[in-house]
Amino acid sequence: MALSNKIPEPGFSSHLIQEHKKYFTFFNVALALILITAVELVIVYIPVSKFIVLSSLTVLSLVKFLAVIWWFMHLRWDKALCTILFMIGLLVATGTVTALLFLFDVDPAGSPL
Amino acid sequence: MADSSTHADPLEELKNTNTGVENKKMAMWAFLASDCMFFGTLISTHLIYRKIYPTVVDPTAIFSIELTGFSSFILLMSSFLMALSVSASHKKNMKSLRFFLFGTIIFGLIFLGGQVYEFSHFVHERNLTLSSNVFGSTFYVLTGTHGVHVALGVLWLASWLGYTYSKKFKWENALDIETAGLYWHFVDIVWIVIFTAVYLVEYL
Repeated sequence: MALSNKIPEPGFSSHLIQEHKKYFTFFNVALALILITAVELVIVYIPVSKFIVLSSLTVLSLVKFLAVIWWFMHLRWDKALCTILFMIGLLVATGTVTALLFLFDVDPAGSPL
Repeated sequence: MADSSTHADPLEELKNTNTGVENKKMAMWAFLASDCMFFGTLISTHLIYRKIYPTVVDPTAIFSIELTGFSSFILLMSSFLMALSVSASHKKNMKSLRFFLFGTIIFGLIFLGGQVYEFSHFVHERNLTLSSNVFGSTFYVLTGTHGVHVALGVLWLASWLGYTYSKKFKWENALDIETAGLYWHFVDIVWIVIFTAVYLVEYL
């Protein structure tokens, strides 16, 4: 964090200071993403309840997903309109996937549909 | 000492729109929102057929989780390099922009190489083709569509890398690089979902 603590030179715009700060943010996010991916790879081999593993994988993927869109895709710094626009598409997609998974649930009586 | 105009954000003037967001960026976010729905249908198709026909094939006997994990790592790192490319373009730092764009392209190509190897291995060693069973159909369509997105992203970024060497390149083009970056990050988040929903879930 040394760069962000430096006193800016005269003429060094706040825009550049902001960009320098982003570098450290991106680096930390990248490290976190690698760590989470490694945890995901290990977690599937842990002999615990399937529900716990599945829930953990879902949460970890969600964290990775949100980290990428929030920091790497600049939603953190952009207008809220970009977030709203993307979230509309994402919510419709998530709703469609959820609805389809329930609609095409396996019949316990034997019939596949 | 550089004057303040040299360090100004090259995109500041382009933000003078009704929405306050650059038009190209707005269009890209709208496209990505629609692409979410596109991949949503492909992912749900794969998951539904896996649920209806669970015994058609044992994916754990086919998949190589080490290769897929490595591919995930590569794509995440390419996303990191892309974020640095966009930052470099905002700072008007040409050397860094070219370096990070080149890195992103290389990592994208490594990912594609991994996918080509994976598909080739599945077809020749495991006899899993697009038409051999329902798992093969949904798996290849889903991961293949993602692969095509990656390939298009690589071509797009390579064209921008080439354009930085042109005299026509202006720092206002930082917006175009940022737009291409949004697409690239989207490809990454789709893989985050595919990695869990298609690969990791099979090991439970």
